[in-house]
Parts: sequence; C-alpha cells; structure tokens
Amino acid sequence: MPIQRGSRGRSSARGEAKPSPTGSGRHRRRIILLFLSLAAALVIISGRLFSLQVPQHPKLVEAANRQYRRLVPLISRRGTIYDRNGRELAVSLRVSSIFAQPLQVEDKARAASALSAVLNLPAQRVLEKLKADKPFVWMKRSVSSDEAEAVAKLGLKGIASVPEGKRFYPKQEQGAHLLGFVGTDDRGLEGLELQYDSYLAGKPKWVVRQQDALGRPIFREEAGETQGSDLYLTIDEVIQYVTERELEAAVSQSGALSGSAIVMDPVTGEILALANYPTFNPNAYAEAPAFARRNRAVVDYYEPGSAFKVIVGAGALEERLVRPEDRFNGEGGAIEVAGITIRDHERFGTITFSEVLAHSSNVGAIKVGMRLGKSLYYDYISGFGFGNLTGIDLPGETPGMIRRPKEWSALSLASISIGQEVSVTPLQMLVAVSAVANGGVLVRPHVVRTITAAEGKVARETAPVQLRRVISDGTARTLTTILQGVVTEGTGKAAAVEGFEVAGKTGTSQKLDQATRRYSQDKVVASFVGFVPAEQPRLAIVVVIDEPRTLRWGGSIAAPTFREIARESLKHLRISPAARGQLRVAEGIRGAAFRLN
Amino acid sequence: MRGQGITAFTRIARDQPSAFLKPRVDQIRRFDLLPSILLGGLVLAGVLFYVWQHIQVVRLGYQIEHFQGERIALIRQEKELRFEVARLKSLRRVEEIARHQLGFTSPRPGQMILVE
Repeated sequence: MPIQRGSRGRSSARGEAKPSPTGSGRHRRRIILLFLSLAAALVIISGRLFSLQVPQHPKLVEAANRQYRRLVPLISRRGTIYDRNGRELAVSLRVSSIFAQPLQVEDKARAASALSAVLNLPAQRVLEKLKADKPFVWMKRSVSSDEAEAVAKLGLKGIASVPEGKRFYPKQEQGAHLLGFVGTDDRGLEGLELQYDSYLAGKPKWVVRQQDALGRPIFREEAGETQGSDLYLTIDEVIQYVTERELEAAVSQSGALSGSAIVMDPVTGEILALANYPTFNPNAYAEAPAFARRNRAVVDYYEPGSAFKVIVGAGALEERLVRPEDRFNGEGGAIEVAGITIRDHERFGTITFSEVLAHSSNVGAIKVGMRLGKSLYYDYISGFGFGNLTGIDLPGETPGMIRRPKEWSALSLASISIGQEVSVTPLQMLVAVSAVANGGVLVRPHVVRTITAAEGKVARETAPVQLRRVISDGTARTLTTILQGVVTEGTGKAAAVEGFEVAGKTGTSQKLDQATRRYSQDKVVASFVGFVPAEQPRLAIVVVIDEPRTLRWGGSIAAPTFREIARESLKHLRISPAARGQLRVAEGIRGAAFRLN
Repeated sequence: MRGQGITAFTRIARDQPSAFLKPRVDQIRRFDLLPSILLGGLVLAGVLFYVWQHIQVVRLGYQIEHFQGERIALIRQEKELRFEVARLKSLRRVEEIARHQLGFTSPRPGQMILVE
C-alpha cells in the first residue's frame, strides 16, 4: 500500500494529466488471473480425483488392500478332552511344521545338507524334496521348537515354518481306545476324536490384518484364538487306571490273547472306565498294530456262554415259568438235544433254579430255556438289547449276532440257553445285566457328559436315557438275589468283595474253530459280569478274557479281576460297607411303566 | 502555487487518510487479519492433530501386535506346562514311583477305615 501511495504521489508530482489505470482495476485483473489459475488448477485436480475415485477406484482399492491388508488364517485349536473330574486326557499344543518352496531355494545341495543336520533327516531325501518340481513340499511336520528355531537361524530362502496344532495324550496308553487319535491334519481318526470331531475341531477362521510396507502387522480386525469345544467325559481317570492295570495283569497272568473290561453306572449308563489289552500309545498310534488299536469292548463280539443264563433266567422268572425254589433234575451232568450231548462241568443231581444259575448248570439252563420257548426267549433276548446297537457314543459299535427263531435249528434253543450260537459285545452284556441291577430298565450307555464351547457355555449335555423296561422290579430283585448266590456259593466266589454283597455271573464259552467249524476244546472266552453293591448298585462291571491258556474259567480269571476293579473303585468313590445304607436309589427307574419290547 | 497547493491537499485528502487517521486504519487492518490467522492456525492444528492421531493409531497398532504375540506365547507356554503337569501326574508313573522308589503298598482289606 505505501508503494501505491508513493506511485500516485510521483505521477501527481510530474503533473501527468491523464490518470493511469486505477489500483482497483489492476487488482481486479490480478484477482481474475488468480481466480482463473486456481479454477484451472481445481479443474485439473478435480479431473484427476474423478479419474482416481471413479474409473480407477476398484483397481486402486484392490491394490491398496493387497499392499496393506492380508487375510490370515487362524489355527483352530482342537478342544481338550477331560475326565469327569476335569483331568486332561487329550490336549492340543501349537507346534511348527517346516515346508519348502523348491523353486525359490537357490543352492539346493547346501540347503539339503543344512536342513538334514538340523531336522535329523537323511540328506538325500531332503535333496530329492528340494529338487521336486512343485511349488510346495513339506519337509517335516510337527517339529520341536528347537528345530523350528534352528531352521529359522539358517535363513535359507524358500524354507519356512508354519504353526500347526498337534494332539498330545499326557496319560499315554490310558484310555487309548476311548480317546482314539488324530491324524497329521488334526482330524479325528478313531474313538472320541472321530466321534466328536466336529465339536473338537472347531471352525476355520480368518482375520484381516493390516500391515506396513515391510509386512509387519499393525492391526487386526478380529483378534483371539479359534478353539474347538472341550469334552468332559463320564470316565473317571482313577477307575480307568485301575481297570487297565487289573486287566493287563489278568491277561498277562493267564497268557491270554486279549481282554476287555468296562465299568458302568448301571442307573445312569455313564461309562466310568473302558479298557482293552493289548493297548497302544495314541501319541505314536502308527507304530501300534491294528489289533492293539481295536476297541474290542465295543467292536468285537464273543459267545457269552453261561453269563447268558441271566437272560434266560430273567425271561422265565418274568413269565412266572419258574420260581427260585423250583427243582430241576441235573440228569447226572449231561443232556441230549437233537442228537448232541451237552455236558455240565460237574454232575448235578436235583438242584433248584437258584442253584442252576449259582453253579451254572447247562442242563438246568436248557430245561429253563425249553420252558420259555423260542418265541418268548427271542423276545427277551432282543428286549435286553442283543442284536441291536446299544447307542453308545463311540464309533464302530457292532450289534452282535442273534438269529431269528425261524432260523434256529433243533439245537439252537438249548445252545442259546447256555450262551452259545449267540454273539454279543462285552458292552451289550454289561448293559443287559445293568438292567437287572437297576430294577429292570435298559439304559443307554454314554461316554461324554458335557460339551463345553470355547466361551465356557455348555453346548451339549448328555442326560441319562432309559430305553425301556425289560423286566419288572420284582423280577429284577429276585434275579439279583439269585445272582448274589453265584458269588456267595457258586462259580463266582472269587468275585466277592469284602464287606459288600456282589451279584454276578460267570461265563466260559468255547470258541468256534474257524478251521474245523466246530467248537474248540482248548480255546475259550472267560468272563464275569456283575454289579456291586447288590442291593443298591453303583458299579456294573464286565470282564472278558479271550483265550486264556491258564486259569481258563470265568470264575478263576475274570471273577478275581472283577473283584480287584470293584474293590479299588469302591474305595476311590469312598463307598464303604458302612455307607451302603446311604446309597442313592435308582430314582425314576423302579416306578417306570412295564413294557417289553 | 496556492491553488496548486490546495489541489494537492485536496487530492491527498481524498486519496490518503489523514495523518491522524492512519494509525487507526492500520489498527483496523491488523484486526482484519486476526480471524484469518486464527483460522489458519486452527486448520493447521487440526491437520497436525489428524496426523498425530494417525501416527498414534499406527504406533498403538504395533504395540497391540507386540502384546498379542507375547500373549499367544504365554498361553502356549501355559498349555505346555499344563500338559507337563498332566503327564507327571499320570497314575501309572505315580504308582511306579510310590511302589518302587518309595516302597509304598496298597492298604489291605481292613487296614483302611473311611471316616464319614
């Protein structure tokens, strides 16, 4: 402004008559010029912005996302399996797996040499993998953290690690057949791992991660670890251990081929322990033979022999065809049916029905079966669940084998009355005897108590399921008293537990020789099935020993095993002989309506 | 000269504020600039705040990622330790130690009384 003033002053002083263009005119021109310049710039910028925001928008957004945002898979941690008291039986830990992108590996020979030393792999095998014409190859799965760190320190181009979940079983062989195992892809292959895979595995989850130009993560849109649901089993770790220990001892002591044992709550159907021997370590399942991995207690069937006399006895008592005191002629220990002579293990004279079961008389049982008849007997057999799945939540269960009466031969009724010509699983036998224990109701066995989601919410809870009433409460009580006689004075004396009344039945059945298609004279299956305390049962136990070489009778090998399992389990559950009066009653079972399927 | 002087004075009077008015006009002009300066300062502060908070978000993002990594590592360590505890509490192992190292035996029937 002072300059303007000066200029005006000078022109005035020179006496220029014609006034120069006014200051406001120059201002206007300058403003117009400035405006036009700005407008032009604005047009250019707007045009550029339009070009960026409209035609190039999708392409640029994609490019930006590619550069700054990255989809990251979250590893779904497999849920934990606990016993009924919250002890870990199967857990998943995060481990690293080493992979290679062979096309990016520069000096393959040097890389193979370094990797083989660090990963303890044959150098030639590593080199072959690195020379493969593939974009991706696994070098070693589930390596230790030391190995992963060592590989990272090598700094080899094209070699990297990726985190994965790996299943571990801290109790090793314990509960192996129940738990099953998972494959390298973390999917269940056997046992509960397979049965509840959809719950345990969880769902795959991805998160969007923002990263800087160097690929360092800045922010993620969703944090947190994905996790499968946890299983809480009905299994009691202590009872499971005792059962496995005693079963192993029995199989070893008798030189048997194998053995199975199950402990169940006869009222609720909760499986407290399930064991097979030989067993395997699920941490190294691939090293175990297929025979050792079979859950024989559920998958394999056997002819139950005299233990099946419980069923013929239950049917005959329920139909009031026999009474405990009814007398039967023992026929001197042999009876001929359809031209075949069936013998007793000793020569009996006249014995009562109770004694028929207590001393396991074949002749007596055949006579009872004949009173019952084919049709009724078959109804009771299928009513007790034989020939059908028990519905246990374990994979691979078999229904056993029971032919329909029209397919029976003239010998069949007699044979089935003594537990031959019929095949059952140890679990079926246990469930049937549990029905006698709980007052006459068939219950569905189960292994999983609750499924808890990752947030701690109970996703599923298994309530005890009563399938049907198979015998009346009165019949069950009568049969219980008779089965107590088996232990006090019959073939199952070795099953007696000090201070408790035990009810049960021994069984020793000849095995069918596949070569001769005849019953073998030296291959037998010895078993004992029973429950304790007899009056208000808490435990139903079955022990099956396959092909014992010594101690070949159910009463001499299976019954003592039952006793040891029962004694230790009762002690663990703090059930003392003095506390028997305070035991719970099978609520809701004794009052259930009678119905025979 | 006199007339010229009068003309000049008139021109000056018309074109220029008088001497006694000049400070007042400058004052007003300075006062006119104040809102612009304030506005400019405000805009600058806003821009600086925007940039600062953006930097803060990125910085906190790095911190969160760092702590996330630490958290995951600690959870992993906890799980490994729990696994180790479960392995060491294996009943087979405990019984082995009790029987063979410590010389314990199971109580025989009658040796144990449950106190209700």
